[in-house]
Amino acid sequence: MQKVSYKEHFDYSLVTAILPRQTSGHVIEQVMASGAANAMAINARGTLIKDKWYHSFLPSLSPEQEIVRFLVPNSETDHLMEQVVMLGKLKQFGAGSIYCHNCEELYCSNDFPLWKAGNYRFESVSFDIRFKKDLVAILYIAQKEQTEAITRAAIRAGSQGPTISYLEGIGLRDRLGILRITKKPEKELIMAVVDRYDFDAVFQAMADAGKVDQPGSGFLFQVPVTKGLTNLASIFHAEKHSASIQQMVKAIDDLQGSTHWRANRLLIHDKKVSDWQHGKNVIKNASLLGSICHRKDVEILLDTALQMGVPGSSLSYWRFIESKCEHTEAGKRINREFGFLSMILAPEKVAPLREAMQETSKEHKMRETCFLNYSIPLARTFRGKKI
Amino acid sequence: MSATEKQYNPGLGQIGFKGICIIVWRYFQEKAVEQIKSIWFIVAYLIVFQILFLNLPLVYGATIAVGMVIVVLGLTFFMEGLRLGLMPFGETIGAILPRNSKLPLIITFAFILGVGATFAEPAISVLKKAGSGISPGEAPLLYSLLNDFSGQLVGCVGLGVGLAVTLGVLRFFHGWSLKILIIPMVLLLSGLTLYAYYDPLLNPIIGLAWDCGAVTTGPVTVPLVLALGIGVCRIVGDEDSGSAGFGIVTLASLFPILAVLCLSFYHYFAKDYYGGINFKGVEEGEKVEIVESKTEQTFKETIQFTEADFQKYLKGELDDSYETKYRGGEITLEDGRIVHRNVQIVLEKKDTQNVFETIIADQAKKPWDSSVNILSELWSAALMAVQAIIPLCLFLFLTLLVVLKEKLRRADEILVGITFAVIGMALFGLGLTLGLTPLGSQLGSNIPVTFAVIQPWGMSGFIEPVFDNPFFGKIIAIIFAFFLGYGATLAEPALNALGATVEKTTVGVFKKSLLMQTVAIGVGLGIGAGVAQMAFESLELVWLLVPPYLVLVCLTLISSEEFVNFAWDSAGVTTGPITVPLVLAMGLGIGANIPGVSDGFGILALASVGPIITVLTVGLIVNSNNRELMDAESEL
Repeated sequence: MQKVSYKEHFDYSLVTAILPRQTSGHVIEQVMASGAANAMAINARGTLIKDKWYHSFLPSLSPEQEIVRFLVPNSETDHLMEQVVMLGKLKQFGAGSIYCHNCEELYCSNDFPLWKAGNYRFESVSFDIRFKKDLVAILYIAQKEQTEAITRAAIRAGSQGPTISYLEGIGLRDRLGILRITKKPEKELIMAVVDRYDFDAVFQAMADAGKVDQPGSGFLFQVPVTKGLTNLASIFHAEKHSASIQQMVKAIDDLQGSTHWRANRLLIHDKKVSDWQHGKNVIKNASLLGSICHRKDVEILLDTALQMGVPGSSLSYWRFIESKCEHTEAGKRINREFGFLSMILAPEKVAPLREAMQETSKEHKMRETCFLNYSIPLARTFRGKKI
Repeated sequence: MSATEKQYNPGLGQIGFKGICIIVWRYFQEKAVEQIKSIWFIVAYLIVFQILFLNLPLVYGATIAVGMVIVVLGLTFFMEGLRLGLMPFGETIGAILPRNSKLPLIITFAFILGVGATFAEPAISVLKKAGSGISPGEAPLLYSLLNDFSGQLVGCVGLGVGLAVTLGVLRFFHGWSLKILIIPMVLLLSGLTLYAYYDPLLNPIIGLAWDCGAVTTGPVTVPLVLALGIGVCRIVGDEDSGSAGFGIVTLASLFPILAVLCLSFYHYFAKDYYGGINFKGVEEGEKVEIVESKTEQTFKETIQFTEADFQKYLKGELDDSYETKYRGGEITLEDGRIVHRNVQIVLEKKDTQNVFETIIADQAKKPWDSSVNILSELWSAALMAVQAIIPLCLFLFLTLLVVLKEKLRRADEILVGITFAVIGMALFGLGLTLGLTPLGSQLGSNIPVTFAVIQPWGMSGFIEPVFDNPFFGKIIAIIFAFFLGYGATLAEPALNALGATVEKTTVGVFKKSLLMQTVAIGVGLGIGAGVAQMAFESLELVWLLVPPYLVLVCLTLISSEEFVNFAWDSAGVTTGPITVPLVLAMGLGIGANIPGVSDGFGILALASVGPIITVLTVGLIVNSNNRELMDAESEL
């Protein structure tokens, strides 16, 4: 077997697309056909709030969505994003959202199927897309029971319907030995992409709704977005032709080319907002260390992380979609599953932990492993300062 | 590093014994409350109905109370066992299987799993026992199937389930739609059933055949098979939809019906059933035995005259509280007079409310059913649980180890889970015998009191109808039946497991509560319709069954694949260990009071159609809402 060695790669970005189930299959297929190396996908659901009281008596389902992630060289993010926007018709209201952010550092094992620059051929046909540069992603790892309140608060504060996916929280639970069965690992990841302008209000609203400053109430953090576009539905309509207030605001945003016209928020900014910024629950300038590895290797890496004293970590399993893959006899694709392990740390702890995990992976001869990290400007959790 | 390690790793040692107790207690509390939430409705409803509406006391109140506590305990352990042990186990194997092995191996595995799961299902052994209660004279073919060919019968059911699981797994590999499998299947089954319905020999088979379908999808098989399917679908498939992994349960409840019908048609044409030309079994000896056991079963103690009454009668002092009946004799018309010859005149005491109240007082003094031996019940329940779970898990474990050559991750967790499942199932079984079955069957058989004179369950003596107007009484009975079905369905463990799985695979898009409520309402409607059919004799069962099935086929055709999967699977799951005894008791109770109707078969069949129709309808409503939303957006 080949010896595992790691190489650092530069100038890579993580492109995240949130697509409704109706379009996601088609989009992925087309992107793959254009020479994309691979993508990771996970199922998710959107959120809709009901604007009329009687709607709550009708059975309704949250919209099914899929989160698709690409690890892409910086030179090709624009093309990829343009293609996804075009295929998914993301310009239309409610059609989805896409954003990208830089990986500060990326280390991949030599056999990792990394997207190499140059293979991807998508001719952008004078397709005029202006990506917003002032978006921010807010992510909240919360208990299932809290999700409803948090998403509702986020929408009220001006966010589009947040996207929710499952992940496993790892921390205290795995230190309990067999008693860990008493704690449910399932958590929900709530993801809202908002304008920088709405950020403070949405962040604060989500923090309040989820009671983030109390113990056991999850982890709220911000991910900087280089550029993106977001167009998710947030209200359950029964009337066919009326535009929602969100649609109107968005239409004016587009006409104005910015969100500054909505300046009345400035008046609401009071002392409370800035108060929490200095509390002991707030972390500024943290770093997120992520690791992508085979599903069966996840636990080994996790053990290393826990031994190194990582307070908590989250784990999600993604379908790994490749342009070349095995098929069943009947021609159905056999997908692989990759685990995405992520932990939020003080920046100085990232390098030692990554090196320790790399050592572990060499020891266990793990194949196709990759480590990446990016900065988290702001995070909030119970006693967050400790990380 | 050691300092940081201490800081962040509290470890078990530091939590201490007290801490461990607190953690375990909180966990147990949370889970038990969950189960109480699912079961309280049906229990409270039954008790309130018995006491307030029917004005009857609860017989064996203490036994039932103890039984209920045990049911909750059992469900708590069992559901945790499913979550920790059986489901992850099945899912792991499902996800490894398509990667590590070729198609023939996968098919073999699926087949063996299906057959094995059937033999493990506790309810299947009930089929074997059921044979003794059937008189060979009335239903010779049914009698033969359950006695002479019981081995073949169980084998057939096993084969049916094995084929179903195989086909279900193959379906994932080929991406076949569930619709194209079930619609022809349902039409075929309906045709065969209709043919059998009009044949006096085959008619009694129908109930057995459809029951076999329900029996095979029990609380162990369903979660395991679901998890397996989900595991496979996690790996296989281009774009998976939320429905991926479902559908095996549906096939596993349809195939055994076909298998049993085929077996009975075979014997029907081969004429080797009891009394047939080619019958090879012993006729005489068994016949006598059967008659004996039957008389024992139907023997009922009723209030009759005492010696003192007899002395009064001889003196002519007896009051009017008796009825005169004439038995036997010949009746002829002679010279314009109707003459009874050689007639026996029997005086029977009239049972009045007065007499009954003294009986009630007696019954209330006996809250404990002394005929129940808890230890022996527990022992048999435990045996059943071990038989249902352990061999299957061993098979799965060996497959994983020997065939797939993979280690079992989190083995301790899964082991604890399996232990929980066994404990839970044993307690659940015990609790059912002690609590839920007596409660359900007393209510079920008492319910006709709304419109007919009956002898209340577990009591002696008769009681007058509660409502004077029989039509109104029947309506009350139908409403009662609706809520009985609704409540029992919510408590059904296999449906709870299905609901949780649906919610998990759709990432919360399809909430467990929405599915459970929809299914429960469907079952309630089905059971209500079944009771209506029995209570109002003018409604023919065929007319109640055929139109819903036609509606069903149409709805299935126009619904989205996802909802077809959910709807049909939940129908296969609903007829479980809580619903079936309650419904059968009610069916028998009502049937015994109305001539010409003897079993609850129609009710059960309707109870499985109901949820499919409601889930599909909800699916159509939801889809039309979503389509409106999509339309509104694309116009912008």
